[in-house]
Amino acid sequence: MLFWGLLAGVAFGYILQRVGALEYDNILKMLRLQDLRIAQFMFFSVAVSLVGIYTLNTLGVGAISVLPFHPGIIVGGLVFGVGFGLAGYCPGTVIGAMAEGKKDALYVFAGALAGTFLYAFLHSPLKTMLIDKGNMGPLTFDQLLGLSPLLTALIFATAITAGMFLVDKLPRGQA
Amino acid sequence: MKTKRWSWFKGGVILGALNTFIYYLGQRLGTSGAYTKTVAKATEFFSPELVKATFLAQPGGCDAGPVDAAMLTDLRVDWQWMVVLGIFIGAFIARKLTGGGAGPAIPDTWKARFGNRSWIRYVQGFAGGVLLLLGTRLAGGCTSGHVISGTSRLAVSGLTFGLAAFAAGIPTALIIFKQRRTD
Repeated sequence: MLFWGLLAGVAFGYILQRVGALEYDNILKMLRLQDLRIAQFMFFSVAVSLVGIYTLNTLGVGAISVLPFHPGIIVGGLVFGVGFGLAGYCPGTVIGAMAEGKKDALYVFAGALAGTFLYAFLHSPLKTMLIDKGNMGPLTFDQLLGLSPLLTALIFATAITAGMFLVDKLPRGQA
Repeated sequence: MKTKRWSWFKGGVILGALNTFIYYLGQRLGTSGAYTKTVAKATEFFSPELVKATFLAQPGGCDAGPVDAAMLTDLRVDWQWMVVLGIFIGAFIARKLTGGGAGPAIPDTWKARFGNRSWIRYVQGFAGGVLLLLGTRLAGGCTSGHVISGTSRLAVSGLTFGLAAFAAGIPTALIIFKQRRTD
């Protein structure tokens, strides 16, 4: 199984490099709303996955497990977003960017390791305040909407795909 | 010669297929948990007590289940750690095969806006890296674990994390690149 992990990672790294997701320039153009192609790639991959995963699941293959929803998701997402805007990489893409020889990615990676170390000391109080309090468990959209998982997945996939094609119609700003 | 980058459509289809295959394997895509493993392993070398007191009591990353089952239980190399190693290899191969050459010391658009003082970019990058992982560890996942794996499993946590990340990332990027009035 570890070998499959390595292989999946190689494929993931290859894809990220080919779509330009390892480029600070492309990430910042996305966040400055000038060129949304990286976001389109990411959300469209989710749409394709939704169809694939829920088709398999409906056929009885595999099991769906999701992460719990709690206030730490929102606070963590906001802190992550500021870091994303400053770094121009995320925890996965910075690994690929280092492999490409981008020197600034090395500093982002060093910061990421420092952040991981720092978090270890903040975890206990943050867990009490933001993870345990208001924890709604592994909440999913099909539960919220009261629809079957497959139908919900197809609705989401269709909406995301339509949205990503609509983005193509928007004027692309100058970088 | 540099090969043209893939369209978002092509990339999305291929990553979606990969993500579906990973589900079929009974795994999930995720990267940030590997940071905890790596840092915990390095810390163990200096202080095993510190690891027990801290790292073994936090979410294990993108593959974390319900909160309390999400503790890092051991420091062994796992599936997701191998994924992260793979990202390094895959990106390296992709760049070599498509004639990208060595990566720049600082990004082009950054240089165009702020000039050649690369140390400022490195300090900025380091600070960004710290915040990335602080946020990720609190949320229990990152772009791959929450936005890609989570949302493709209809997780409210996955989409919420993604929206929060953009809600903070967009103003941050706009402020950094705010153009000085030239007229």
